[in-house]
Amino acid sequence: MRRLPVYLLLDTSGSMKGEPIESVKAGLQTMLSTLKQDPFALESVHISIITFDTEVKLLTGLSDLENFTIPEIVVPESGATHFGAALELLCKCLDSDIRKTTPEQKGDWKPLLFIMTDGRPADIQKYKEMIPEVQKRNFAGIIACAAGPKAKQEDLKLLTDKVVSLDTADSATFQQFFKWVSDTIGKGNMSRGATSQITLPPPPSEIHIVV
Amino acid sequence: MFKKIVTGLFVFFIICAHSLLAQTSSALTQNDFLLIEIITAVSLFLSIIMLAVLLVLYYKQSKGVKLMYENLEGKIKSLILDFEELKKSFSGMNDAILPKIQNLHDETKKILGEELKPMLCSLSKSLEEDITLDQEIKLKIDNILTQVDQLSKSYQSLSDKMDSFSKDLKSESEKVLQSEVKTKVEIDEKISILNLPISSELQKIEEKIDELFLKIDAFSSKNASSIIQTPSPQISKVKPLSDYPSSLPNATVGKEYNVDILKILSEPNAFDVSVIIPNELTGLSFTQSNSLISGVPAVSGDFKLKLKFKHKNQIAQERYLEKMLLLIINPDPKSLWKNLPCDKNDPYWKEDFSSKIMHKEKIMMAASARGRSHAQEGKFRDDAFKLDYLDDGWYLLAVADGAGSAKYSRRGSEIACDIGFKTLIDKIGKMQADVFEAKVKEYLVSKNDPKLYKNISDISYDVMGGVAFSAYQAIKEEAAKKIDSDNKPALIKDFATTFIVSAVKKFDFGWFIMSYWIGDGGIGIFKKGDSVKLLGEPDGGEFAGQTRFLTMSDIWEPTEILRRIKFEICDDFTALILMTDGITDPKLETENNLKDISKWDLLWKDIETEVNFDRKNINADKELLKWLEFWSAGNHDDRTIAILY
Repeated sequence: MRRLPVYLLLDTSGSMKGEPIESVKAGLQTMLSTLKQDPFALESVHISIITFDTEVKLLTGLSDLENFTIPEIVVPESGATHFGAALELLCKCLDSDIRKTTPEQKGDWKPLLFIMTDGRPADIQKYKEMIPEVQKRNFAGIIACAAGPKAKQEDLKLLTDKVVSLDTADSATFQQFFKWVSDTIGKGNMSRGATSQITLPPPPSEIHIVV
Repeated sequence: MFKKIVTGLFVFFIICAHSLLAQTSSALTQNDFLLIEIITAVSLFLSIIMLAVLLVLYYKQSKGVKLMYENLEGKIKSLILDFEELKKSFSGMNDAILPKIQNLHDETKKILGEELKPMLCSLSKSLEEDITLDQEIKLKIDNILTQVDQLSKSYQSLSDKMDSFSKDLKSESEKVLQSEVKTKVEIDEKISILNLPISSELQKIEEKIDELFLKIDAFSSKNASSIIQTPSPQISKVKPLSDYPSSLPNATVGKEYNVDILKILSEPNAFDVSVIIPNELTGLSFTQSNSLISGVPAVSGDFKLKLKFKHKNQIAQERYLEKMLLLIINPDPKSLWKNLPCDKNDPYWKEDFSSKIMHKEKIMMAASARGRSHAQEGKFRDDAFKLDYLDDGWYLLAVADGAGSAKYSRRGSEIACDIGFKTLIDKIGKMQADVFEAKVKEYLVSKNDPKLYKNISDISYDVMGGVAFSAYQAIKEEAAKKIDSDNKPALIKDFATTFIVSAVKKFDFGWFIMSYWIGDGGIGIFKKGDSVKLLGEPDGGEFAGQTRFLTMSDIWEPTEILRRIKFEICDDFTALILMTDGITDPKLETENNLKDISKWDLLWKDIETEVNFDRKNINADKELLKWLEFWSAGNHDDRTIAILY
């Protein structure tokens, strides 16, 4: 069966502690239940979560939606946003996870990447180094989300042209964001492409597309 | 008990000294008396030191007890603060449910004011009193345990009230939302937003209570061990509840589920373990005797199951440790597929299903069905096929698969078949049959002669290359004619389609088959149990869904055209099969399998379960259409197959 790998990069730096991270968790739960209502997604989507603060962690390796449970997400009291290191880990994961078509095996659908951050990369040098590496890796779409007023959209713009912003990092907004993410996953990518990039579904009012 | 030890030791020393004195008094000298005096004095001195040390230790211990109590009091105070916060978060809620919240608010206040406060008072009062006797310590511990138990019960009742409030909230919100919200997911989502502050607060309270209990357990066990005066062995402690698992493995509707809760809990000291399954979760049950949660779930969703157990080393023996376990039940994917009609008024509308059968010397049939992924969204079938038979003995077959991402691909695939056939009929008509036959015979005599091979190859190139290119041109023209809603002409890539076309004729030297194939899917000459001859190679990329289309401009170099054209001369065969990737993906999967006769044998056997290939069967195409409904997880594209047999 062909898999649709979906990577989620979540910012867990100190500023996410408390309500923001609880909202993200609730949002993830909504995303999962929404995706499970989509029969194609239920059978194809595989999810991997990477969190980044001072430490970068592969929270869950690529696993199918049917058996997926949201792992415990721990936010340290304080800590920098090591975004560049997260991208490095992401590339490493991709290189070992993604199946390409060969005479012996069926390839995956092109992977999708969603990034959520409420700050800016502390390791900006590494971040910039990793950008071409990530872009080399054949994503069908990279969607970056700047959550709250402190997130720097300009940094995200370097990585992808699909940047959205959320005014606040509260639970209602995150619910909407993750709902929209699941719509994007459901809509995108799983039909044969004359176009190589996915098109985004129209976002709800809480989400602004950054141009 | 410290006094007991001290008194014991003191008495022991005195007795020792005096018995020594008594035993030796018969033969005493001045020196001996002096010695005894010294021994007695030393003994007395040692006893006093011992007593002093023990008194200091005892004092410290009492102080520890007091600290522990103060700690408890602090915890309870912070609990009350949590409640205050909880109350605050209530006030921010929806107007429609405000009365309900007010109600709960009052209840909470009542519990806090009338039940918790007095309890706290008596607790702190008891702390004021001096603790002097062992017996008293034990009594106090018991007393506090009972009180905390009561405390926990009040919280429990509060928590129950919260639950029922949640349910009320849900039905209330459903009423409110009914007018504007359509799907269940959206309702759940709204409710979960409302519930988030409540449930997270409630969870915090529960955690605090558990923490409290664990502290008491730890404190009591420390005291208990010092009371019985035995060196305490390393007893396994009750872990904080957050260290136990908080979710169960996911289940799926309609699939057998069997989970041993003891294995999940993984706590050798647990006993009396049970799981309470909510009523709305039908199909699953818990059996205490084998500790299994089992059954076939009938509903999907996220459920909370209450896990209850006791720990061998907990002090409050009658109390159960409780934890909510999340169980996610996935829906049955088969039940989720919808079959929405597509727009009949669309100028490019196409029937969802189609099939055809033609009885000649061989039988030619084809079937094409809209994929579930398209039915789900009310989209059109993008696949197309065409069959034709020419009076001079040519069988013509074609299948085409419009790209899912291209908006007019359903028309692209149709044009490819229609115009391709028009050209094919025209080219075959112009071909001098006897000249062609002679050339083939010549080639058959000396197959290694490149010149003779080229004769046939040139004819195939002319016919099939012409067919493909005319189809490409026709699509291009159609695209130029088609005006989009934004008043611009459509692009040719909006009509992207794959194309497999074949012309077959029987001669006295055998069957002659020529073909053109661009894209994925496949065409092969199948000899059951013997061999399969693939007429070309699938166009694929590194990732799923990547292929090449007839509508691309870079496939019209002569070498590119040539490598997609094949001709074959063979004896009789079981079948010539043309398929789109809706069939090759689930049934043949990889490029290697596509060339593997054993996989084709399996495919044929599979088709035979639905289709009767007897010559007399005039409904074989309908049966083939039925076969196209086969289930394969993750493979729900349009499916089209054409068979010559």
